[in-house]
Amino acid sequence: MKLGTGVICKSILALLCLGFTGIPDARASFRDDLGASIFQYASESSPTFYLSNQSIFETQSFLTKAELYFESGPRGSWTFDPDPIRFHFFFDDEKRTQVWLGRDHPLHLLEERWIEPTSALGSVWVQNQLDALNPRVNGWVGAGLVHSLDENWKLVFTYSPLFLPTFGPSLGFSERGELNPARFARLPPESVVTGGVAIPIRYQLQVGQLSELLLRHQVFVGTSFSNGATSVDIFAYTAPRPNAVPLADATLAVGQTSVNANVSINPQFPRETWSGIRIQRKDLLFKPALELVQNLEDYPNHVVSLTGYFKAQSLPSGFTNLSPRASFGILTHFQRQFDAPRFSDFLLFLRVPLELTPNLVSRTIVQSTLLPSRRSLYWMNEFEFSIKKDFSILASLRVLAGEDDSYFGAWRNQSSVSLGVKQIW
Amino acid sequence: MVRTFRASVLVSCMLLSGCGFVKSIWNAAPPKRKTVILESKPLPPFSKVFSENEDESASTFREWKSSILGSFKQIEGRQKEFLSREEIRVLVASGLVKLDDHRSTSADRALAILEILGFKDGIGIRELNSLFDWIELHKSEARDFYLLFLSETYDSNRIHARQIISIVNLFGSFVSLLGDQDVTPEHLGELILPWVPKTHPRARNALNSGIDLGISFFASFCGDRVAQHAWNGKRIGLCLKSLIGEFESTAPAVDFMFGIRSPSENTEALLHAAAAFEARVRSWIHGHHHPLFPVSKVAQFSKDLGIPPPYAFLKMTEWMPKLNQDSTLEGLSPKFFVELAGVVRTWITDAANASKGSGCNAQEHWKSCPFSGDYDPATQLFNGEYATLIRTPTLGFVSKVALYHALSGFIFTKLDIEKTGEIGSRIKELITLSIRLLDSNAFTQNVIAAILEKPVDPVNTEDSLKAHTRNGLAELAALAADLIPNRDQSGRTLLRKLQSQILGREKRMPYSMDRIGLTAFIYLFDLVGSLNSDYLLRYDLPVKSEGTLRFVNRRKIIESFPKILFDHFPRLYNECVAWGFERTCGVVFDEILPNSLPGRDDLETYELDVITLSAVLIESMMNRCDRNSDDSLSGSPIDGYDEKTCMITVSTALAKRLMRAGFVDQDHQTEFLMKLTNHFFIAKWAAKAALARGTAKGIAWFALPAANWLTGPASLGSVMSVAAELMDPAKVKAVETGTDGPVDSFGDELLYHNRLTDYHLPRLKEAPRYRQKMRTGE
Repeated sequence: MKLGTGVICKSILALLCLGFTGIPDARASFRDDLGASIFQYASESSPTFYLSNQSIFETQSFLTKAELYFESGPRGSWTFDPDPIRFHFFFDDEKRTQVWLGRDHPLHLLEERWIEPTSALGSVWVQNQLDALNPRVNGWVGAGLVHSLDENWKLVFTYSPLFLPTFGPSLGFSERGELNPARFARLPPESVVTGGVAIPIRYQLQVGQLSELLLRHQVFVGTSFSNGATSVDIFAYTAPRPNAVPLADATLAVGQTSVNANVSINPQFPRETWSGIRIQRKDLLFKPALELVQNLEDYPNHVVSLTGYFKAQSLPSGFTNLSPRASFGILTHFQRQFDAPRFSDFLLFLRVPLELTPNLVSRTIVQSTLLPSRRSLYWMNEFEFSIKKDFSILASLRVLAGEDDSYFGAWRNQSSVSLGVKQIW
Repeated sequence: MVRTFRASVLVSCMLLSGCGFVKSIWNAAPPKRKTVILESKPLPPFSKVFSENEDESASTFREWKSSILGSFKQIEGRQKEFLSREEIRVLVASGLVKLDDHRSTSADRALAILEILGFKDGIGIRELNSLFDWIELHKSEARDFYLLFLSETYDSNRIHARQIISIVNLFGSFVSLLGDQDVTPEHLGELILPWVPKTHPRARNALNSGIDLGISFFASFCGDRVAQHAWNGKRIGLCLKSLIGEFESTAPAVDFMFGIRSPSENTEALLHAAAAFEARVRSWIHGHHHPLFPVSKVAQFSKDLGIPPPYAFLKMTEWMPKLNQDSTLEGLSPKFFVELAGVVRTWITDAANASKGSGCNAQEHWKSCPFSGDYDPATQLFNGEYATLIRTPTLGFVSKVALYHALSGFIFTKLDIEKTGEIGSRIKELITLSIRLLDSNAFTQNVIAAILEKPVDPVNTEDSLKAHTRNGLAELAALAADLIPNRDQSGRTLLRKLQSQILGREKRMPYSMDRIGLTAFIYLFDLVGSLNSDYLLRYDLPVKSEGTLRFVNRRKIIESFPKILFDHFPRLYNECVAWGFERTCGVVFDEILPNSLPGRDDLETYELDVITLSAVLIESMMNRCDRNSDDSLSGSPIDGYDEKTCMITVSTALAKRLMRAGFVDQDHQTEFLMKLTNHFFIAKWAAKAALARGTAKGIAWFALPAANWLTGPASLGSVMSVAAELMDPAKVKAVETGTDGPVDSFGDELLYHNRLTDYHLPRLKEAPRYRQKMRTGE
């Protein structure tokens, strides 16, 4: 069977149709945040236009949250990402077994589980990074269930036949192998030096058979214990690695006037099996959650996060939906050797809102990778002034800095200021 | 107030520094995009392919082949696994393939070598494979070439016939790669020019004439087997291959010629090879049409290269029409090689026959093996008294004599010398040229030096050869050579002896040149050249170069010549010491040695040859006249041509010739005395007495025959003593009286106050003589 994007679109539409059958439901809710801003990037001489929209539609048995993001200009990018989009229902009258279909993260049906990129599991899970400074952990397309064994224990199972890898800012390969990268694209090596001679590299993407790439089994099993003071999740899953391992084949292309290194990249998504545990003490200050995920085939490869949460009403906003919760913590990975810079390069993070006046809210995000020789910083401050209940104006400053070979340092010329408006329906 | 001010200053500073920080962040440059450094494992040096360790050689070859073919497969042009000329130009211009520091030159070189290799349109995997196959096929030959020419211990004496065959084969096969196409000299020049660095302007300048010379050489050498006016690699390759096939069986002869095979080793095989060599050369030349080799191309090449032309070669060509009837003044006929092959055959045959049974098969040291056979020319030239190279009867000596005897035979036949029995002045020039041509590779060295932009050596130039003629050295050599052969004198009958006494003179011509004399002449030139280098090196004589000339201090020569005599002419040295060194050899050699030019204190290095030649001449006179070899010249009342008379006759004849040659000053008084002694026996008796007493003083009493006989025999020392008096009485007088005498040139002052004896004579009082050594078994 060949699977194309058409099939995926049709599936999503079917789910939407299924969801809209719940509209007459009295408990249906819809909210839409539409924002528009002008951005001035340090790297650009002229401003760019930025549009974002976040729609949440929820009924008793259907939930979708669709994000739209668009940035003008030759280096702008866009995304429309409905996630989650799920139809869920209880399988039995006792409401012990809840089944879902659609696209969602397996743990999202558990109470107060929102998988964030700053968590250990989120950092190794498939993400949407098209809005590079605001990545989102994506769900799987498939079906799952949550079965309550008793008041405290639950079983979680999810199966997905369709693998969607992490999407990041486009490199914009041309037919001739030249790049037209998006603003936050992580640029591959520019040239190859051999024998003291630098040769420019041209890239070609060899995706191969799409069905072989996408039709991959993904299985998640877990159990969860929760009482008033503690929650513990233990889980294991197998899925293709979300970030591609590029299998490169290089040739020297001799043209009429120049020589280029033609690098043909065949992205590979090798299967990985992970296990993990998440322990959260809800009775302690900041409800600290410790999370550890372990690659079962590569034992030195594991990620740890420690996150504290605090209550804040001001999140999310149009631009800071990294997580719906205010939090701070640490995320780090351990590996024998480091290759490309990663988000989890000993990341310290802080997301804190501050209600300065009833109409003025300040939101601050600080993320800093502290791994030696990979130190970098992302600092965002946003001020939202509500003119009306459903209309506000926004101003923000984003500062990016860091060493050459660091996660945020790669974008250090992309600091920006912005001014925008937001309308809520 | 002050506090407010301080606070304002602090805030201002913070704002300023804060602004600066924000500005630096805002203006941060993006990180440079990464560069992939490709560092493949370095390949072992390609020279290891030529390693004698077969495993190492094979593995190196495999590594290179797989690396290059692997790399090539990763290069994409318009066609699969093939790069056109244009694509190669782009590839090389990018710097990925480096054949020179300048990329454009690199590209030119790459395209040129491709065309030279016959890959005109480009190169593909197939062509690369064939190139590797070629290397693998010729690996052992390339190894020979590599070991021979790239090793630091290159020595032409170690070249084996097998190596020559290998190299010719390799070269032939290499040029064959070019394919069956005629390339004009101009186009071949265009192809090779990029390979000649710009730092070598002389080589670049001479490239076209060099190619022209090469084409002419192959045209002449290979005849109609190759293209006559163009470079056709395939045909030249086939010619060389055919040459190898023809001459493979002559390997023993070639090995002998290159000095790495003893003439006594498997004599029959050597004789057979020598005969085959001549036959092969004959069939090679006569079987095809071979055009003349144009001499002017050599001169043009030298001119373009900026080096002195090979004077000896060019002058030799003037003789070619006489030596070879097919040659002209403008061109040499390859048929001359047929005649030379005959000379080679005679040489090898004589050497092999003479040394048959000597039982010396040592490949490297056979030349020093003692000679125990019978070879008349060598016996005649052998002399136990002088010059290390001629007083040891070895296979090397015999081999050399055989070569020169074969050459002299050829010259005699061609120039009809045997009819006259005399050697003309032009023959001396021919021999000089021949020897310079044979024993010197100066022209080759100059070609290499000029190509490498190194100073060019002036040796073997017109100047150095003119100098020989100017100073009468050739005359001196001819005189000495005439005396060297130990001509048998035992045939003189009592009647003949009485007749000589009555008639007062020997009828035999004192100066003539037969074949053995010519052989000695050639040998002597060889000897003089070898000894000259030996003197400069062994006696540490400082050489000063000025342009194309080399000089050595005259005083240093005077200081060193006692040591020269001690080592090479021990009998003469001992006799001079016995009679007073300064009084005898000191004055004679100081007089023979030219004075330095006005304003200078030195002489040209070749002028050292006069010491060797004079010493040989004096010793030869003694050998000739000392018939009973008792180291003394006795008189006889019966024999009119006794030993003393012989010495007087020979020396006066030689003196006359030397005077005519301008070698010694023409002194009318001496000439008169010489005539007197030859024509009046009273004068002759007086002269005999003078010879015996070592002085001409008071000889009047001894003019009576009875008194003359009372004076006893003369010796070499007494002869030198008389010669010194005749040459410069003033100096002799000063030496005798212990006063300062005339100082005509630098070093003359060493003759007085026993300075030579006290400071510059070797410590051993007596020089060991070869004959004595032989007797004592040392």
